[in-house]
Amino acid sequence: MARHVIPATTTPLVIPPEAMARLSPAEYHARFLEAEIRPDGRRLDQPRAATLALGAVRSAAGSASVRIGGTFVLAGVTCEAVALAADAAESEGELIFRLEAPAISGLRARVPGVPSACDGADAVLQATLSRSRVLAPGALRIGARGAAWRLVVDVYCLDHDGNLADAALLAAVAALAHTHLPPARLDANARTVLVGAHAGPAPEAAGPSGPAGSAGGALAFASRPVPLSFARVLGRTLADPCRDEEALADGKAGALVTVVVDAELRVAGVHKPGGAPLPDAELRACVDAARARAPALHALLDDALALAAGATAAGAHL
Amino acid sequence: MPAAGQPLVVRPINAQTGAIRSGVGSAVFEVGSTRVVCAVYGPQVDARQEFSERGRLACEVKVAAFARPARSASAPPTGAEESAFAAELHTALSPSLRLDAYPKSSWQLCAFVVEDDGSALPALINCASLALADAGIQMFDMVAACSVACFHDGRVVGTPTAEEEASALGQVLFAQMAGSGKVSSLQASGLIPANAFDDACAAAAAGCAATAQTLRAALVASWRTRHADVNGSAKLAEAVVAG
Repeated sequence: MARHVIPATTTPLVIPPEAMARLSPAEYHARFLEAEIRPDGRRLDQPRAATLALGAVRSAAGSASVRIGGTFVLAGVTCEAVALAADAAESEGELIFRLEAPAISGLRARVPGVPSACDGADAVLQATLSRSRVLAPGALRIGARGAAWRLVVDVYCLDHDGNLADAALLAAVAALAHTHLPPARLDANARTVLVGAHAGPAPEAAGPSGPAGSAGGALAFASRPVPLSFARVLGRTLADPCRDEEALADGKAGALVTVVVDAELRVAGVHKPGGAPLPDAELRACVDAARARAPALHALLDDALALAAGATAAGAHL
Repeated sequence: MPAAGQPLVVRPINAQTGAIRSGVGSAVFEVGSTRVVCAVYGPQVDARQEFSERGRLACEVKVAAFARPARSASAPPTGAEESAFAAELHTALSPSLRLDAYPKSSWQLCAFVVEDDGSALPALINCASLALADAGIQMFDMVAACSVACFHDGRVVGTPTAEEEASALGQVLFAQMAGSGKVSSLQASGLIPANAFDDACAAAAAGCAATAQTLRAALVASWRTRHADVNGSAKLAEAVVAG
């Protein structure tokens, strides 16, 4: 049997870029980063375009869908009036955030026990929204005492292409901003909460313990935080990392730096859960980049709210 | 009973491909305000499975906590309901696929119910079939599904809303391959008078035929956009579609 002889060749082996990206992603990205540019053509500190649509889900009290690059997130708010015992302390109500990435997003935990990108983003969501005052004090109260709203914000990642934290946080804030509570009122013996049409017009006469109901409507916000996340990839800090860049991030997967700023560009939160150490100067640069990004995101939110107020924009994304 | 030839009233439907870019194929399907999204991932080597000459179709359905308006905060959709949806999807779709062409491999079909105002299961079947076709999986034909609700007064309503579903005597769901006319799934629930059953089935089949046209149009549209910008082959694509 004749042996196959591979002829010596003088032409060097040329690997097409698409193959190189799969065979050796680290080297592929390193070549780009050396030239201060990213494979998708962005600068190192340049976030992807974001779009926002409100009112995509009519069954929810408020809803928002956010697309950042290829990442797509849907958030919906469900509300429930909770009556408290007559002698219970004054209640501020409850605001609960839940983030899930169902199988449709293409994000699966590769190794059990190791936190996925969804866990990382959920931690950011809980830390920046649950534990900080997003809503104005008393926004969830029904009457002076006795009853309050329980709001659940469910955020679902339907398409994952990196930076789930930013998309989830933006969608959750936008869904809350779009939420309109139905009118609600405590009945005479303060045992039952009447919601919606049953509640009738909001009672004008305030009892000895303050008004007995709330007229409903939009929620009162204390601040509208907007985020920008970064990943340390091959010793460089990249704003708004895509999925491939997150996979190469130094340290644990999903360990990103998230900087949250409010409408006055004050820092409302910095989230840095372990991972690769970040030089002080780099962190300052991250804060500056988040500040530079915030006005665009606030404008996006305001435009969407104006549009939703004008006409019920239904299903602009899906 | 509606007189023979009387048109079936259905809610407006809308189908579109390519919503989920991570997937090999994906689709969105709307009927009235019911809206579902599907994505297909694969084929993957299924290391856990024993050797199989046929490919495997794994279905997974997730229902959003806010998909239904009534008291959903205290009674969210249950896992049992999601598993039931997944099983129904598998039953209705696997006869349409040429799984024998994919030995030792598995396809993941992932569905998400954004909003459920009745007729969620037929919407899921339609959406999933379009997503599978968009993924380019070998199949005999797409499966189109339609449900009808029968009422006390003899009315038959296509693609019922949640309210209609609750007040109807019974429901018939048809899943059919439009090309061959073969039925891949048929379900009747509730109490349907025996003499009304045939009419309900005929109405559901008519609904399937109309849905199949919408699905086909969506697939052609997606194929056109996908091939329009590749090496100027737009004209070729047009010619193939037209021919």
